[in-house]
Amino acid sequence: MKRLSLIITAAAVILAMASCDKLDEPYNLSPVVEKSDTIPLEAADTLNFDGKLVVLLEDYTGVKCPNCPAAAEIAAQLQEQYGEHLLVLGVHPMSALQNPAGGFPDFRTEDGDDWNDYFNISAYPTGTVNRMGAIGPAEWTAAVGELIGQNAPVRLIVKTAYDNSTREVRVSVHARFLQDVESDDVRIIVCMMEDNIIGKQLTPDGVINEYTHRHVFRGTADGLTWGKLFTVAHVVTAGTNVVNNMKFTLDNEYEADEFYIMAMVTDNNTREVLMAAENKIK
Amino acid sequence: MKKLLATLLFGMMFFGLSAQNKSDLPNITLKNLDGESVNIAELNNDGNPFVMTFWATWCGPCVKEHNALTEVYDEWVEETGVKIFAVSIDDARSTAKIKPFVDGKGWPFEILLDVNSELKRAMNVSNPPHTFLFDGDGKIVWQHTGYLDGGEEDLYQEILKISK
Amino acid sequence: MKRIFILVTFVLGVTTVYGQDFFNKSKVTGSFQIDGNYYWEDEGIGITADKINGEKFGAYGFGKMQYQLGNFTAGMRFEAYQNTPMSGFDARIKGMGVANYFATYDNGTIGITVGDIYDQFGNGLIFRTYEEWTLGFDNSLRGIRAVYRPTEGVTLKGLYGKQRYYWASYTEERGYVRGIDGEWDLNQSISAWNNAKLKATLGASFVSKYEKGDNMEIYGMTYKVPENVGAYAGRVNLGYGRFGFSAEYAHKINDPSYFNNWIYRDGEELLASLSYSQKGLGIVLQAKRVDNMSFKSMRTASQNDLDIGFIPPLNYTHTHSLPSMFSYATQPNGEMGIQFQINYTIPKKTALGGKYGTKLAFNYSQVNDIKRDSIMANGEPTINLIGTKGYTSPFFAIGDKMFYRDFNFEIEKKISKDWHLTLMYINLYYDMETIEGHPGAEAVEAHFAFGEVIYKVNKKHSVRLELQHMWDNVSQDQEIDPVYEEYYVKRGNWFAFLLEYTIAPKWFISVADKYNYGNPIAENRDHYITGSFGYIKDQTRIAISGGRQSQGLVCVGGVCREVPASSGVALTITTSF
Repeated sequence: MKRLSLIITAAAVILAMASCDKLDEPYNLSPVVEKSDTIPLEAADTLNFDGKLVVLLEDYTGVKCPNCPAAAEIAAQLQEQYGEHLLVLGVHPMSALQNPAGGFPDFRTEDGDDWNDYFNISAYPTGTVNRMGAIGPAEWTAAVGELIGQNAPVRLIVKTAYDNSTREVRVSVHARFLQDVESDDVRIIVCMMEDNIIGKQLTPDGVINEYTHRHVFRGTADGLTWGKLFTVAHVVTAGTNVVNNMKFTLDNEYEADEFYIMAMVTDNNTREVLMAAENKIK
Repeated sequence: MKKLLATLLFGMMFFGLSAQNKSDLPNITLKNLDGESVNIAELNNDGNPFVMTFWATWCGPCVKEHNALTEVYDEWVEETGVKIFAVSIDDARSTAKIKPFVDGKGWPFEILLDVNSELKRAMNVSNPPHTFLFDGDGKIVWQHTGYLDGGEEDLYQEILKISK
Repeated sequence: MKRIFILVTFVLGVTTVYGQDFFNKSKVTGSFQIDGNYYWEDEGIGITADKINGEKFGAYGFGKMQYQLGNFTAGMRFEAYQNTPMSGFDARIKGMGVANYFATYDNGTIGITVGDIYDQFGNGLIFRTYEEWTLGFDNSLRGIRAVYRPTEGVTLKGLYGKQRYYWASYTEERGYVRGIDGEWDLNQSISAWNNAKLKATLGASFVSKYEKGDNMEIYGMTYKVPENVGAYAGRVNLGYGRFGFSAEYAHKINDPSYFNNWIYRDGEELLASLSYSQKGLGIVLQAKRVDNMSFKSMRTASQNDLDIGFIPPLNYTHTHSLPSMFSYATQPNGEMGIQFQINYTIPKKTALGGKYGTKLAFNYSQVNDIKRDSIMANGEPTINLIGTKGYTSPFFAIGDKMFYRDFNFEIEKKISKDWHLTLMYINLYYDMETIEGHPGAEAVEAHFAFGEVIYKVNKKHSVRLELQHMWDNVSQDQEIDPVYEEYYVKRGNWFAFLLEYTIAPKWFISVADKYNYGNPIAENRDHYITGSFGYIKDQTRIAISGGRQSQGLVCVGGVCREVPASSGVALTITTSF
């Protein structure tokens, strides 16, 4: 009996010691985003907003994907048709079709790869329209057309400022909710995008050396793949205003004249994009 | 894992069989108002019938029932030698309140605290009040759920049937 | 299903082996309950076809079977929840199957249980598993428990397992819970103390949960999180003649979760009671402090589920229909409360006591928030910010915000052989904003009067009349901001009555009405008329009720369920064997 008690006591002590993970600060392991002052909205910004949805077409593509340029062509046509109501983002994940070996440009990003995995994309070209599931280029036109003209639940405006000498980029994303959004996880994703990059691309006719790569996703500006949360309430009510500020230094290999900041408001429970906006940094 | 479980089960049943099973009272240990442990399987009233009620401080009909029983208790004890065990199913929110509550109401019963409804589950009680009548050997001879004014009379008739 | 099959096989197997002898010694018992509801549209209280959504019929039932053979007991419970949105249950409880089974061997010294375990350490602060059918609540632990009683007065317990999470498979991701508890009754174990006037019991417990993953993404950022969270508690119970004292203290290490907004502060809880009682008089004073003590076996759990610990609310539980619309729900993230209660019986045959004595009860409860001071995080003073230690809080300082206050007084008197009277006054403060999670809602400061008369027609027949009135601080003329309209569905003055006729011990019939005549919104000034009829035979109870049900909270033991307003009939049958 005594021995049993001893065993129980010993087991209790071991259990107690092994069962507490005391953690020390800092608890946050995410990259630190530098804060910046707000770049205010101007009257013209709000006057230009027509209340209609801005749709986001993400084109999962690759430099060694021969069929991808054709899909980029569909995206370009749609953008011509719908103007500022359609934004396009070319996402290069990390499969063999994006591998730069052989003098191809390296557009791969970890964020893009995480998105790719979430939507379970394994064939290219594939796209998402407002992140409502992965679909082939043949379906893009219909999917975009369905959303165009709808009322925007959020007014989203991206303000930027760029310093030529230091290459410092400052960003203010202004979101104003126009409708109640029922979700406890509404986020803002801030993306870097570079347009019109000249580089190698595989096509059905062979390699083109001076192909113009459009809308290349260069990663999220704050390192937050799925964006930053600004509310934990169960409903974001109409009238809520949110401003997300940050600053960073533009990498030397990026062309400032072709550089954009693209923002999207998402319901992170479904990953659906509620609204998108972009602005050139210069 | 499953094999182990099965072996364990079988072992437990084997041992279970070797023990005696005289009464309808489960082998569960509860505390009384003095903090003493009471093994329910050993509850008895020296061979006389006894009553077990399930109640809670938040249960209106239960309080009514016990108030009514209090009024007739002395008479019943004299006539039949019956004893009442009142099992409170209040949880930790009220554990400390029960003694003052019972004393304040002047209830003369032996109170048992079923803080986590262990006995309630074992006795298949769904909702309080629920009243059991046991014979001198601890066998259930009658039970009743709910309390309506005057319901104690019925219990008394049942007690009379089995008291010597 | 397979495991049940194994169980049945063994039962049959043993039956064959032991034959007739087996039947004499073994025993099967069980119980059964079914609640059926049929809902209909009722425009008056906003029940549209849309709200019912085609699910007019809801049924919930359980059947329990228990098998006993000496020191061996095995049992199982079958549950079926065909709930509709009108019933107010968590949608995840919908389903049916064998929710629970267990087998126990206990010879008084050693006890082993495998299967679904219900148990509690001390007051349950760091471990309590229980089920509450009316709430659809069940946090039982599926695993193994050992109880060992080496000598009289000493109990040691150890357990290990995974908690029930509605109908989710036990192989699915959520934490494991392990715990040990020891209790030592000094009077029973030390022979010299057996008859001492001082009664003392000491207890201590340790519980730890393990949940996989040492970092996780929370609102877009990655945080490190503890895989093992430990909590310990110590308790003491003392009795000395008419005095009693009990206290339990619990401490929990960093446990960021959805519920505490992902802060890393340690949790603390203290519960203490002091009482005095003698025949006819009982006084009890209780106090508690809760600070960041939500303890669940899944970090992301957001509802009333997977609780490992239990935070007992101390306040008085109202059962009358009007005050019970405003039941307090404990705030695991922080609260401080006191509770004071006197029960006194004016003896029989005195001037005030009369022929039958008079029972008096007085009760005062108050719960406030704890005081929280800011800490520095990212160079700024913050309180309760995600990914920080949250705040600091002086142990004895009471926060300014009051969550709940109740004082009530009750007189109960048997006037003559046939007449019985109960009167009660209640004064309630109810912080709707915190308790119901409605930001911006106006607190309830209400008075209630309650009166009940019972007339005994004869030995078995009696009539009961209950009258209630509530005076709310929201008046009928108050203008309501349309944005907050839904916070006012049960506000304003109420009147209620209940008339019941019973024939003991078998029949009851009643009619009741609750009338929200003083609601500030004209279309909410509704009557909620219900009728019930029931029959009880021994352990079987059958009741039918029909009418309007007002929106309300069903609270049992600190866990509350919000039940929407509805209109319809309900049938309840309970029985046991």
